[in-house]
Amino acid sequence: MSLLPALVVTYVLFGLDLALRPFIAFGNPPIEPWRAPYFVLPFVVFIALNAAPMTVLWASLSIGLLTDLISGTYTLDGGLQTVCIVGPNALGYLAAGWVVLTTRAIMMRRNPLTFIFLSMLAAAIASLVAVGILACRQMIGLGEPIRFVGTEQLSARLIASLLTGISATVLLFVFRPLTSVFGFDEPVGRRYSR
Amino acid sequence: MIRQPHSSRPGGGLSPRRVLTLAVGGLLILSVLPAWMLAPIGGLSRVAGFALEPEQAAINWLLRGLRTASGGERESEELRKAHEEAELFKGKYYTELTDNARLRERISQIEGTLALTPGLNIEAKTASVIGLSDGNSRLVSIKAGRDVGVTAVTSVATVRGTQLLGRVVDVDALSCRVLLIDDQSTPAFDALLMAPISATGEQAASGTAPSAPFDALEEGIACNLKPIGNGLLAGNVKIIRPSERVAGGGGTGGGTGGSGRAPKAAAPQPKEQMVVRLRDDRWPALAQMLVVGVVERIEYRDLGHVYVIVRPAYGDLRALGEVVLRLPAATTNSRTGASGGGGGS
Repeated sequence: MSLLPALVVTYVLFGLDLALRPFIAFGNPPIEPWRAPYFVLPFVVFIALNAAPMTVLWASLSIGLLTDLISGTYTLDGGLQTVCIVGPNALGYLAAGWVVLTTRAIMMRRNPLTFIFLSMLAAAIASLVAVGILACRQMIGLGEPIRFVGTEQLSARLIASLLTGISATVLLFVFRPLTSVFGFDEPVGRRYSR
Repeated sequence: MIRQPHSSRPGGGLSPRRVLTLAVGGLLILSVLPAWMLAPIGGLSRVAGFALEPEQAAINWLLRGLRTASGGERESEELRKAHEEAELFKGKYYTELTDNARLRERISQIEGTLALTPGLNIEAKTASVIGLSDGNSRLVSIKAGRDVGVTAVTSVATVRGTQLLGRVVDVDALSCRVLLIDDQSTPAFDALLMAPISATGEQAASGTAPSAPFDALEEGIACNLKPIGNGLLAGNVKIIRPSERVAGGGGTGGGTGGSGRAPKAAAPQPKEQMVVRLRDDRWPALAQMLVVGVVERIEYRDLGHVYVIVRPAYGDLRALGEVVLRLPAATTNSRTGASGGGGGS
C-alpha cells in the first residue's frame, strides 16, 4: 500500500473528524459526548477490505494511536488538569481492523452495503474496546481517576457507530475512485471473495 | 487471524507480527498508567493537535460562515455591539461596587484589595477558537498560548469579555485548552445572584428583590454552584440578611423560613432570570464578577433550602468564533522579561 496517499487521506479525515463532527452532532457538544458519525473509521475499513493482512493491522493500530493523541485528552476528576491516554482507541481500531480482516473473505467486497455495514460494525467494536479499556482503567484505579461515565460514553459511541453508516455512504464515493491510487497489494479475487 | 509460516526470523530478529504483539502489550500497559506517568505523551498530543490546527480552523471557519449565511445569527451588528457594551459596563459597575464594599470592610488590607480592582493591568486578548475537543474531555481549544502570556489556571476565557467561559487548564506554546465552567470536573465555586439592571440604572422591579443594585451586594444572595451535567450549574442559595450581617459579619442564613426566625420583609429572594456573577477567592482576581449565567429555575426544598439551577449564557459553542482571554498582569511582565532575555520557550 502506498503510504503517501494514505497519510494525506488520514490527515483530511482527521480534520473532518475534529471540525465537522461537533457541527453535525446531536445534542449539545461539548456538553454531551458527541453523537456524530466517524470519518476516520470508514477509512480503516476501506484499508482492511483491500490491503494485505499485516498492513491492515499496522494501519489500524497507527490510525487508532493518532486518534488517541488527537482526541484522547481527558480531564482528571475534581482537578484542573488534563491527561492524554494512549491505548484505548489504538487497540479499539486494531480490533475493528482485525474483525474486518477476518470477515472480508466471506463478504461481497464490491457491494457498497458491505462497506457501509462493516463501517458501522467496526465503529461499534472500536467503541466497545475503547470504553472497556477506559472502564478497566477506572476500576484498577492507578493514580487520579479521569472524569468518565462508562454508560454515557458507550451509548453515545454506539449511536455514533450507527450514524457512521451515513458518513461511510458518502466516503464510499470518494474512496472507490481512489482505490488504484493507494496501490493495494492484496489480490482481490481469492477464494470465497466476491 | 491469517497465519504466517514464520512468526520470527531465523536470526532471532523481530518479525512485524511480533512487534505488533509487543505494541499491543505496551499500549495495554500505557492505557492504565497513572496520569503523572503519561505526562510526556501530552507533548506528542500537542504536536498532533498543532499539525491539525490549520485544517480544523479552516473547516470551522467555513462552517461558521455557512451557518451565518443560512440565517443562524440574524442579530443586527449595532444591537449586538450595544449589548456587548452594556454588559461590559455592568461588569465594571459591579466590580466597582464589590471593591467599595471590600475597602470599607477591610481598610487595613488596602493593598490586597487593590489586587482585585479593575484598575490593575489585566490584559485582555482576543483569540480565535480552534475547535472543540473530543466529547470526552469537554475542552475548548483556543489559538493563544504562552506566546501571548496565557498561563494555566490563572487565565480565564470569556465570551465578549463578560460571560465567563471557563478556566485555562492546559497551555502550550501557541494554543491552550479551556475547561468549561459547567464541566463536571470543575470544582464548586461561589457566586452572587443579581437582579438585572434596567436602562435607568435600577434593578428590575421584582417583589422582594432589593431596590438598588448596591443592596444586592450588601445583603447578598450568594450561592455555591456545582456543575450537574447537561450544561447546567446548581447549588444552594445562601441569603445574608442585613441583620445577620450587622450581628455576625456575614453569617449564613438557613433559607427562607426553616431556621425558625421570621424572615425580614426586605430579605432578598432569588428570582428566575437573575444574573449570576462569579465571586470566589479560589478563582483568579481577574475572573471576579464575570457573568456565570442566568438563573433558569428555583427549587424550594426541605428545611427551607433554596436551590437554584443556572444556565451559562455563552450560547452555542459551535457558533463561537473567538473568545476574550483575561490574563494576569504578572504573566505579561514575566513574559516581556523572558522575551527580552531571549530565552522564552
